[in-house]
Amino acid sequence: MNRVKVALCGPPNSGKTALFNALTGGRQKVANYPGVTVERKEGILATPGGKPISLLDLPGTYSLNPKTLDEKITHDVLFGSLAGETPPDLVVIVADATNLERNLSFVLEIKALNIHAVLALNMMDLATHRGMKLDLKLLEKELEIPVIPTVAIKKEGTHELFLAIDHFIDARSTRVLSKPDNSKLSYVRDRFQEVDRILSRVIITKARPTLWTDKIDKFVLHPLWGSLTLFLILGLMFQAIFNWAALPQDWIKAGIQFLKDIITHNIAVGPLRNLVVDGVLTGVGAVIVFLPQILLLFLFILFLEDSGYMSRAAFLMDRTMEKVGLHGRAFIPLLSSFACAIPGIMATRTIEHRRDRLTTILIAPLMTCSARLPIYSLLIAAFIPNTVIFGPIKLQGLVMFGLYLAGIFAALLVAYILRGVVLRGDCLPLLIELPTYKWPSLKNLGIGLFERAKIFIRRAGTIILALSIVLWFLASYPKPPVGATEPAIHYSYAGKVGYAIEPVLKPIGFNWRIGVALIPGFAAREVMVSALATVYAVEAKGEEVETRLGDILAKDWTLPTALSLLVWYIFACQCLATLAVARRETNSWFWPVFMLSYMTVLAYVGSFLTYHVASQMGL
Amino acid sequence: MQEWIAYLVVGIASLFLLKWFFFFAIAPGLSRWFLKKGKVDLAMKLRQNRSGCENCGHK
Repeated sequence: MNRVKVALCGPPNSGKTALFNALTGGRQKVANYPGVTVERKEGILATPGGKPISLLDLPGTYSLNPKTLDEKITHDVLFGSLAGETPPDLVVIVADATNLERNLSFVLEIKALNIHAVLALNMMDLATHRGMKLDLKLLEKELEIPVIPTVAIKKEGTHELFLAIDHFIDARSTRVLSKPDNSKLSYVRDRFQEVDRILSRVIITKARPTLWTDKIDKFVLHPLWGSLTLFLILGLMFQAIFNWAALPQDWIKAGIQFLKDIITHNIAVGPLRNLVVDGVLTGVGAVIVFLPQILLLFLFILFLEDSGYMSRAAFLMDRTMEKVGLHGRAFIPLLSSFACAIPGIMATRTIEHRRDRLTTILIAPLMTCSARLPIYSLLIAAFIPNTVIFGPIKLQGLVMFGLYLAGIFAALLVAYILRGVVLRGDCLPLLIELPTYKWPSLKNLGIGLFERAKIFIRRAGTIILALSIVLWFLASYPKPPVGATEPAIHYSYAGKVGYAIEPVLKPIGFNWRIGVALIPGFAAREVMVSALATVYAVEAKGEEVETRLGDILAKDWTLPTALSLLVWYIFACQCLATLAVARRETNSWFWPVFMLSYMTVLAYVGSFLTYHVASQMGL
Repeated sequence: MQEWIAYLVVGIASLFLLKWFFFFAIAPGLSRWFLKKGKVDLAMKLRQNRSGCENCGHK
């Protein structure tokens, strides 16, 4: 039996991905702000009636006149104009029941296409909670399509939706897709009049206004108090990352040391023991201890995303962003880049004009992604004392906050220069829907953190493990000549490469060991940490294996070197995947090469200045 | 004996990195070439297996 193609579409933030996850059992990212989904996603499943279907989750759009790349994807899928894509057999329109005035217009647009459709009236629990009463039978009659009330995050209404899909498959008839010219003003005016007419008939009791959302907004959107709140939230986040993660980090360190002791006592001295202890356990262990900090960072990000605060933060930052020539819609991609630049760059599809999009793509890697966290944490813990500044505020958390702020300011400055020199043009104002505040779902937070932990551990067990093993080999072979006086690593392949690049790195205060660790750091930033651990462990010939990497660095490096490396990581584009996705999204090699070049120059100059100023100050 | 096992482990790790590099750097271009030649299945297979971001799993 051929699979029936069912597409979920609707306005942004109406819960399409939540419904997709509820129907497929998938775990696609959901959040309480518009523009989370920017790609077409597909799930294959069978209905309870045993019929195979292919379910598509499409980016949100307010109309079928696409203005941005993500909206174009939805448009092209619905009209079957994507290469190798036939139009869907059935469209499930997902509409926010609490926002029917705006959402029904899109429903009428889809209906005008003469396509088979079902309306999933989502977030019905919120609508009911706010006292809204609807005559669903009458709505069905008015729209001439089935209407199913759903609460996607609680999986309510999914059974009825499946029944409707089954019913459609059983009674399927072919329809010819029509494409009315819906851009005409008269057409739009007629559609909105029709929405008003339908709503006046089907709404029995109107929803009460969300007073508490308005009350919170009066405070958090205030130019002064709102900015202060945003600043405090971010400050609390970085304090928590340092102070709350210490205990679980100690447990992980103890576990790794326990494994090292077992290997040391059970395997005779030789290359295999060195490989496992210096390569695998030291290298991978040096990265895995940062898991609690990464999870804490994501706990905060997920909480803010789910609560609905992100759109408010975008609103607050809009004035600053406009001053440097950034489009208001750039905020969400830049915010996503705090987790990782890849989804951030992909989220720029929601930006209408190419030059605005390009500016955002070019500055997204300057936002501090989570892969930088292990490096920052390692160096801050090793070189910055954790002195109390005021109450619960400690110096290490403040320095971490400062590094994040430095990335943000650098991004704004680069955007200002780009918009003034290379990508000139007017800046469009931000138009963003502020969703109702919601208490984040514990299940959603749990799933988000579980997924993040899984990705981090898989990464440590694959690419970081493989790079640690290969680096151990390169740092251990060839063996030193007879009568050699220096540690073995000096005669190794890695040592030779390190010494070869040392003259370039010496002006910025880096020694050859940092040079060796920087190279694999291009595959994944935090590999820098495991590479440093492996290089120092191999060099120590097992004598200092039990010493923590931070303690070794504090003895071997000066403070100016550590500060210089921190500055290097704020600016350097040490991520191949970011360059690859920039190539894909800009469809050109010029922009990724430009990105790599300007970021490398910025990193080198920044590190040079930091190292020499810090040295002159006698730090 | 220990040395040979260590070499074997290093060999496997190197092959893994080569595979990662192939799907990261070579597969996208190769996929486009296969698509031009009309070999859609092969192009799709390469595209589906391409390496994404090691940090977040995004492709």
